[in-house]
Formats: sequence, C-alpha cells, structure tokens
Amino acid sequence: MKRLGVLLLSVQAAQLTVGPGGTYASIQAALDAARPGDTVRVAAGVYHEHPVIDRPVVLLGAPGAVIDGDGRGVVLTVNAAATTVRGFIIRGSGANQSREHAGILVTDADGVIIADNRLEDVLFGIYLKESDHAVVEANEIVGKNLAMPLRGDGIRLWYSHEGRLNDNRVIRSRDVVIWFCNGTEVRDNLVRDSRYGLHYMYSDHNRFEGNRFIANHVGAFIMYSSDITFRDNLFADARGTTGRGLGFKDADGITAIGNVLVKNAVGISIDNSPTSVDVVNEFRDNVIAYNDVGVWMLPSVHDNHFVGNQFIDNVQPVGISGGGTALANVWRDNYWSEYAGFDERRDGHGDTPFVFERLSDDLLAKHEPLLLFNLSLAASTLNTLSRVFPLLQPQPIVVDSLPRIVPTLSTEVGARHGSPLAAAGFLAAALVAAASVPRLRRLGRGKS
Amino acid sequence: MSRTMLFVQRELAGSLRARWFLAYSAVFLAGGLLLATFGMGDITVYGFRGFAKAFTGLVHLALLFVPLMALFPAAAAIAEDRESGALEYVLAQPVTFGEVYAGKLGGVSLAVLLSMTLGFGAAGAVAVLRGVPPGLVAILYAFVVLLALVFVALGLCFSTIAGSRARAVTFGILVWLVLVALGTLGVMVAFVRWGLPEQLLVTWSFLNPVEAFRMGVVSALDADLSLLGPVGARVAARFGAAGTATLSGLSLAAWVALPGLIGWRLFRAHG
Amino acid sequence: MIRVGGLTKRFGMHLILDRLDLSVTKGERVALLGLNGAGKTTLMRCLLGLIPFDGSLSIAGQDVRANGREARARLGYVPQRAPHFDGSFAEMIEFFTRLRGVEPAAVESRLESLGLAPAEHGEKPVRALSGGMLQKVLLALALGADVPLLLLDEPTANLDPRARREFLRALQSVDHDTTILLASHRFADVQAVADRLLVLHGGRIAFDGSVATLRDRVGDAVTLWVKVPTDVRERARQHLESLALPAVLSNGSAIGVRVDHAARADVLVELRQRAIPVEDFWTEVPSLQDLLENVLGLGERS
Repeated sequence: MKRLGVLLLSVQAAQLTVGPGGTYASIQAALDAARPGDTVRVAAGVYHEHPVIDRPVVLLGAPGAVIDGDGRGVVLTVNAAATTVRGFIIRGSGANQSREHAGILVTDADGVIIADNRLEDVLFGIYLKESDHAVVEANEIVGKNLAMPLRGDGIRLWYSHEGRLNDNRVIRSRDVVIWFCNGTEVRDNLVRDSRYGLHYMYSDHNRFEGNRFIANHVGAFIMYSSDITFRDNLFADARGTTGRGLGFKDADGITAIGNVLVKNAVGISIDNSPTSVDVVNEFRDNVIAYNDVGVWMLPSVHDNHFVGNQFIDNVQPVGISGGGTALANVWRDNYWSEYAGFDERRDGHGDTPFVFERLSDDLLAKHEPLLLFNLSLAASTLNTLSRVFPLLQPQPIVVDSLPRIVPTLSTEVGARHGSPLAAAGFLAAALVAAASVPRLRRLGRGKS
Repeated sequence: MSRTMLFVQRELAGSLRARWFLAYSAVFLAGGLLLATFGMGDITVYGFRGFAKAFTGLVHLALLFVPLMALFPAAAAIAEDRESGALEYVLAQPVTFGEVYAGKLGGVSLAVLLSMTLGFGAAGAVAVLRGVPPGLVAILYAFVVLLALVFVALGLCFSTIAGSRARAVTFGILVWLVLVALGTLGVMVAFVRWGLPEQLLVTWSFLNPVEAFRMGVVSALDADLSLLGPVGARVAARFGAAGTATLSGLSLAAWVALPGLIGWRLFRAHG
Repeated sequence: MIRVGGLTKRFGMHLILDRLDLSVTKGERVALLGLNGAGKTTLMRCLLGLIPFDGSLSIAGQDVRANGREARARLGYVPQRAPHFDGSFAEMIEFFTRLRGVEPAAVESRLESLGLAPAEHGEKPVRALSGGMLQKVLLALALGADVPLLLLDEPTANLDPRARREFLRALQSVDHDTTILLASHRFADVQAVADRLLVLHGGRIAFDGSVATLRDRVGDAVTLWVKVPTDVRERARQHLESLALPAVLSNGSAIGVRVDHAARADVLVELRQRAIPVEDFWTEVPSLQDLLENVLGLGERS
C-alpha cells in the first residue's frame, strides 16, 4: 500500500537542483525543501555534509557529485521508504564500529533503491536495518584500508526481507552480512579481499546466483537457515586455516548447482547440515578443483547428496574432521581425478567404484598439528605401509559407486596459459646441461 | 689453472663418466618429464589453476632422487680413493688438503647440479608451457639445488669418516632414510603417543633439511601455509611466506656448510 | 735434505715412532729397513705430511707441518701400490704434470729412457698397464719433476723378479745428487741402491750405518739345506752339530746349517765321508727377517 502511495505522489513530482547553477547550495537544504516524491538533482562537486532523508525522494547525483563525510559519522542517512539514491560518490564515513558508521544507512524504510553509487573510505558501506524490499544494485564499495578486525561490513542486511542485491562490487571490506532476512535474491555480485564474502544467519528461502567470491577468508558461510539455493557462483582463493569456499552450519534444504569452488583451503565445509530429519542437501554439477580439501565434513554429517560433481586435483578430495568416513552421505556419478579405474563397458563410468582412503589423511585429521607434515614423504610412506598391511588400512572416507571416467569441463590447452619464453629458458638450461656433459666427460683427456 | 680447478675437473669428469650416474640422471629426467606431462590437470577454472597436487609429485620425486643422486658420488669421492691408494698418492703431491677437498666438493656438486639442471630444466619447460608459473618452478629448482648440495656435503663428510666406500654409502643411505621418512614418522608417532609440544614439530620441520626443503617449497606454493594445517598457518603468521622460505633456505645452507666444514676438518686431521 | 727431530707418533695406545732423530744429507742413498709394523710406512707418511705427528720434521729446509705443500714440492714419491686412476696413461701423465706444474716433455723423456714410449702406450687405460710399467710411470713422474728427494715406499714389493730388476736398474741410474730414501724389506733391493742403512725397530733406529758394515756383520753366511733319508736323519744331525757350525736348523724333512758361502761344499763332502747319502740340497740367502733377528739380535718385541 505504501508503495502505491509513493507512485501516486510522484505523478506531480517537482525537481529540485543542488550545486553550481542550481537552486540549493547544499543537499540537505534541497531535501528539507522537497515534498515526498520530488526528485533532487545534485550537480558535480564535492558536498561536505551528512544529509538525512526523512521523506521519500529520488536523490540523483550527476557524474562527479561527491558527498564527503570528512571522516565523521554516517555520510548519508535514509529514514524514508521508497527513496532512491543513485549516481553518487559517497566517501569519508567515521570509523567507529560500535556506532556503525556507514556510507549509507537505511533504517526502517521499505522499498528503497540504492544504485550506481561508489562508496569509498567508508567503515560500513550500505547498511539496511529493518527495511524490506530494498534494491541494492550496481554499487561499488571499497572499505577503509584498516586491519581486518577494525573494518566494517561492505553491505549489511538486518531484518530486511525480500531484498535484491545485484551487480555490486565489494572490495576490501569485512563481510557482506545477511542476518534475519528471508526471500533475498543475491545475483552477480563480486566480493573480494574481505573476510566473509557472505555472512549469513537465520534467513530462509534465499537465492544466490552468479556471484563471485574471490580471495576472502571465507567465500560464503550459511548458518541456522533453510531453503537456500546457490547457482553458478564462483568461490575462489579462500585461504588460511579457516579458509572455506562455501560453508554450512545447521543449514537445511540447500541446493547448490553449477558452482565452482577453486583453490580454497576447503572447498565446501559442512557441519551438522542438514540438521532436521527427512531433509536433504543437494550438491549437483559443481566443480570442486585445486582445493587443499575438496569437501570437509564433521564426522556425523549425513544426507548430503553429491551427484555429478567434478573433483579435480584437490590435494585431498574429501576429508573428515578428526578422521572417519563420509559414507552417511550419497556420492554418485561424480568425477574424481584420483580415480584410476577403467571404462571397459564404455558407459562413461568406471567399472569399479571409486574408493578413497588414506592412512595419512586419517592420521593427520585425527591429530591436526601433524598436518604440518602434509605432502611429506613420511606421509606417503604411511599410505604405502597401509596398502602393504591391510590391518593399518582406515575405513574409506568416500565410496562413489558410479564414478565418471572423464571430466565434462572442457580441457583447455595449457600452452595458451603457459609462458613460452620462460619455457624456452628452462629448456635452454636443460639443453646446455645436456650438451656440456659429453665435453665435460672428456675433461682432462687430450691436450687442452 | 689452479690446482683446485684441476681436481674439480677431474672429479666432475669422473662423476659424469660413471654409468650409474648417467642412468640415474636419465631416470630423473624421464620421471620429471612424465610428471610434468601427465601429473597435473590441464583444466583452468575461471582462470584459476592449482598446482599443489602436481607439485606434490615433483617434490616427492625430488626427495626420492636428488639426495641419493648426490650421496652416491660424494660418499665414493674420498673413501674410494683412500681404498685404492690414490688419495695417498695425490696428497703426496705438492697440494694442500683444502685443495683436494674443495676439488672433490666442487666436482661432485657440479656434476649433480648439471644432472639437476638437465632434469628440472626439461620438466620445468613442460610444466611452464602447461601453465605453471615460472617463478614457482624457479623456486623449486633453487631448493632442489640446495637439497642436492646438502647431500653432497653430507656424503663427502661420511666419505671422510668412513673406512670404506661401502660403509660411507651405507651410512649415507641410513641418514637419508632417517631424514626423508623415518625421522618424521618417528616424530609423528611420538606426537600421537606422548603429545610433543607444537614447537618441536616446527623445529623438526626446519632442522631436518628434507622437511625444510618441503617447507620452503610449500611456502612458495601457498603463502599462508594453510596446506600445512593450523601449525603451518601459525608458522606463516609468525614468519610470513618469505620468512618461511628464507628460514628453510638458511637451514639448508647450514646443512651444506656444517658437514662441509666438519668433513674438511676431519680430512685435514686424518687424510 | 731430511731433518727429523724427536719424531713421535702414536695410534691410540700404540707407540709407532718413539722420539726418532734422523738427518739425511744431500745425495745420500738411504735404505729404510724394518720388520712389518716397525713403522717404515708411518715414517714415510710423516715425511709426506699425510698424518699429524709430534716432533719436528723438515724436507729441504721446509717444515713439513707448517709448510707441507712446499715440502712436498721438493720430493717425488713412489708408493708400494700404484694409485687407481680412472683414465688413460696419457691423461694420468697430463693430470699429475699439470698438478705439479711440470713440463710433460720432461716426464715423457724419462718415460722413454725407462723404455715406455708415451706414443705407444698413451691411449691405454691405466688399469691395463702392468704393475712394473706403473711403477716406472710413477718413477718417471717423480723424476720428471726434477726434485732433490725421492721417497720410495716398498716400490718393488708387488713386482715379479724381472720387473723388479728393471726398476732397480732405473733407480740406480738416477742422478747422483738426488737424495733417495727407500723403504724396503728386501735386502737385495737395499744392496742394489743404498749406501746407508737405517734399521727401524720398536719405533727407534736400531742400526744406522753403511751397507758394508752390515754385510761385515752378516758375513757371507748362507743357509745350506740338505735332505737325507729318514733313517739317517738323526745321525746326520748329530754329526753336523759336532762340526760346531753357527746354527743347525730343522724343517721337517730337511736339515739346515748356516755356513759361509764358500764353505758350503765342505758340508756335503763331510756328509759323504760319513756315508750319509744326500738326496737333495739347496742354499738360501738370509732374509731380512733372519738378518734382523739373528744378526742384529732384534727379536719380537713381546
């Protein structure tokens, strides 16, 4: 109903102008003069103020319009529903975490649109509190250059349902937080060099598509929530001991399809999910490649269905915290680069099941400090020993009854990525070495 | 030409003439090429490639081959000459003990280096063509060279102490076994059994040249050492990737210098 | 040329050289004699500076300990066993001449005068050369360096009689102002080369004098062994003992008597006159062992 009212009002909306050649010298003056539904146009220039929007307006920045908070407080405050803020550079918020100094703070205002802004040198970026139906679109947020514990969140949604986060870029921030928000759609955003690409709790029926989470401590972490869909997202380069591409704790009804998890310390980590009975989490057609551990589970985790995924060159494809097996989950029709079987039947699947077991992984998982000896020859010796003495063999971590024989990802020819010049250098070194051998062998022979 | 260089030449030529040395180099070359060609996935995912797994293969190949390849000629270098009487005759010439020792050390080192360069150059060329960052290959090569020098110095030291070539080689292999696997296995067992303090694991990882080699290579591969679990991450947090690599390099350098020096002193004392 | 003062060497509890003093002047040819384990090789190694020792030692004015390289530059060494050398004859010559900074031509002319033409043997691998040839090569290498001192440690021990003769002849032809120190346990070698004898015993010098002096003390004594039928052996023995010869020995089937070289026929005649049939006889030149034990009276130390 509220929305409809706004629409009616805007029919006779007036235009107010701010800045050089405009009617008002400051944004706040124009806002104070505006009636609900009016449009405030701000010309290029730097405006050192902390505007507060308390009635529904459309605030438009011309290219080069900068609102500068001079490092104090919240830069732009929105307290009115159906407000639009578009086209500004907003910079210089305060740096007080407990006061939640933000570039844009939206409180109790439904139907707000925040689009095409660039936020720089802000503690929090865009902060929505109890504001439903928000659209946050195509903003770029670069946080203050602070140590991680001192940073604020790039985007924070708090008790704000049915929001849309599209095409935003969040760089060098703390988290993108979604807490207590149902029915959110998050599409095509990029979060990088931050702590949690997505910090997500107590929120149901949400959908994530086409987002990229790169080089954050954690790509996305989902807790205490249900009915969440991840499609075609990229989770890359989450490193560090706690590095996870995508993590779940007490999460039910997850559908993860077509995501790519690459080069993370852990690709997907699963703790007590699904948590309810008769609920299944589905992981289908994901690519899980080059992670230290592809899928990391707590020992009692069950009823996750991994079907049609591709496990490529993970140092360890599946690991169990503290050792144990992942056999209470379903593993079928996945590709495993460790699989060494054959496809005599020519049905695209190996003739024997993929069974993954490694004494070293089991031992190192049981005694985590020993992971210091990961990749050591001693660890491989353990595995060889366990093969020779079956008594030592641990329970398999994973059994895939029908493993795929080839990956369905197209194999790109390496030469396109390689550096021929460096290769030529190495080759030249090898050739010089090889060529000098016969001559050096004759050293001391004959006159010289 | 200096007398030392004469000994270097002679030792180098001698090592390169040994058939088993050539065979070993050929196997190393073949192994490296095979690993570089077939040992890693070719798939680039959104521009991302990982090399940890492929690298594990190369690291293990290096640990299995490089130390032995360095040990055998070095362990033979002095003991064999002593057995055959050649050492006495050479030392009866107007030379110093230092010249003879330096010649042996230099000659064997060069031979091993040549073999490493051949194997790693070829494997590295293939790996780089297939997308492995050249810097990574270069760092691995540098650490491989250091590791090889460690075992040349150790071998020569044993060669000086041991009464015969056979004993020097046997002793060398035992030490290799301990450094490469048994020692670390022992530390692991002790940790599981008695819960050694974490610092001891870290100390062992830097003190054992083989593990130091691994630490150095992994730090080049994975800057925050998360591959090496919580303790590894703490090491990375404390020293940084460059610091870890430097520490490993220093440890390896010490393992070259110390046996080299001990061997030289013993050589001077006993001929 | 060689000055040794208070040279002492122990291996653990064993005292090998015991406060040895020795001086050898230029052009002297000295033979170093001694039983196995008397310390000949140890003394050689000390002279070469190969092992640590107590006392003082100099060669041609160069202190061996402080200035080993310079000392060794003034001597040539021929060991008992030629060193193993991986390579050809020519390579070996090249390596060691370059090591000493010697003209290869000097060594080659020595080789030729020793009957070893480098052109003929140059490509042969060293391990294919006979022991005699190798010892000559080592001698040529030592002489080619034109050094004032030659150290030879049992150089003929592993040679057959012909090669030994050739080697000794070569050694005899060495320039007269070259000093030679020859360690040996063959009296024949010593006689061929040396004019001064040193006998090493119990870590000290037990005899230092001319060969003639020693020969005087040995005289021309040989041991004559006669073989007689078993039934008359005891009678023959008693008779020979009654002749008051220096010693009557027995070795199972034969009886030995020490007599002057010139008087050996008399013994046979004597036996004949006593109607003791002699089935066989032979003479034996005294070994160094005999010489040291029986002539110098040096028994086992125990």
